[in-house]
Amino acid sequence: MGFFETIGEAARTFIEGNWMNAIMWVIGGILIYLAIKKEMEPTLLLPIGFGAILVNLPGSTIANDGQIIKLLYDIGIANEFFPLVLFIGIGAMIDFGPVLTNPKLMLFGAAAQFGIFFTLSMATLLGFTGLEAASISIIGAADGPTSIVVARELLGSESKLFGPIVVAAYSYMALVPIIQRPVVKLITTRKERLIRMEYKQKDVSKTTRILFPIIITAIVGFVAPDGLPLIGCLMFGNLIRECGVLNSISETAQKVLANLITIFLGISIAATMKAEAFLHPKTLLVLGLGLVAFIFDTVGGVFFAKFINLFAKKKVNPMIGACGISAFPMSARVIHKMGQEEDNQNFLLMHAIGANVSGQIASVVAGGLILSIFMQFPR
Amino acid sequence: MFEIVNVLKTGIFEPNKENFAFIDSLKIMLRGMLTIFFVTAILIAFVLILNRYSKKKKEKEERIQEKEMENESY
Repeated sequence: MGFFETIGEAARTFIEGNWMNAIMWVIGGILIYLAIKKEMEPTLLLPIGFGAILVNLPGSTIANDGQIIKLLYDIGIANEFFPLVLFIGIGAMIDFGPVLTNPKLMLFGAAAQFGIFFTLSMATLLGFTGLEAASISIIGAADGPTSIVVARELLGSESKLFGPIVVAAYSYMALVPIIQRPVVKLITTRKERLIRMEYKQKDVSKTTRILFPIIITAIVGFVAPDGLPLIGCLMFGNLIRECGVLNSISETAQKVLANLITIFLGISIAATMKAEAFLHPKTLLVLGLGLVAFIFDTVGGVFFAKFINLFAKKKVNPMIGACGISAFPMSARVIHKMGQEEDNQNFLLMHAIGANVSGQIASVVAGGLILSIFMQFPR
Repeated sequence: MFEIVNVLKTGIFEPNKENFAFIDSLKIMLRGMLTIFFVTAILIAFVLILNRYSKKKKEKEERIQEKEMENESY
């Protein structure tokens, strides 16, 4: 046997034995490409992509019991520690000012959760069980930590669907500019996209800023008590920000804490991306349904804005409805840019940010609600 | 009254936990969207009340300040 034949034979044997791993390397490579080249959620997609390659190298034991990735996974994801702590950081980053100035924008946040429930129905039609369908539908919350918490509570972190759900949630969040733009263009007319919205700068009192997170926590705790860890951590972070006496802690939560947890979260998600656990037909369905969730979130928000326009004296640009999803600030940026492309004097940014921030609240409420309903289901 | 509410709740909103089907997902959709809008409406009401309270408080403070300035000028 010649040299090249030997090499060819070895390559063939290697590919035959590792083709599933090879697919995971490609997936990891795509995530890294999106993170670096397209700058889409690089803080998460880069560690997830690198981790996907790392755990699928031939003979890799890095995600086995007692090894670093499995340790991080057990410490931070299997018990929801990372996503909840990350929520404190996210809460500290959010400025609810635009919503408090114009609270009606919160309605768009509510409407844009439609994708969650639509996907729940679609997943049920496709034969998923109630718990599986609910866990998949939460991808539509467009919020990584919420997806992790809900899917883990309902399915358990050992479920084969857990990895695909988390990866889909983060990947689609990164792909918001690519997903939302064509959907919004398809369901709005140019005349609608040209609608200008007046923005009046108003002062929001410190009392309002401080009471807002407390009130939200109390209300959500009352309506969906299983969602309390999610909303509690988010609003605790926001209270740290707004109270005015914990500035250094607020800064730490926004920067050091959030960055640190994000690094660990991203790399430990890779523990769910072992080829034998990740590559199964249901993964494709989960990815497809995740896309459906994002599309119908957008559709829900836009059509609700159109519905409001039937009665409102001051018309709303329907594109603002699309910002009701939780993917902050990508969604607001996309819509502002789309508005400017139609009319460079149309400044939708503040309205878009208001709706986008509302989406963060509404997605957590939706997550809590899904938990409260489905936690009563038999396992 | 309580019975009617109870029947409505279990009939319209309560899904079948044992054999979850498409119709149950629609019930949850209805229940979910209504609840989210309900929570949102309460939040909007709270924020509007807080904003109005803050505005009145600010106006009151400004009036007191103006009076003080007037008194000082006299």
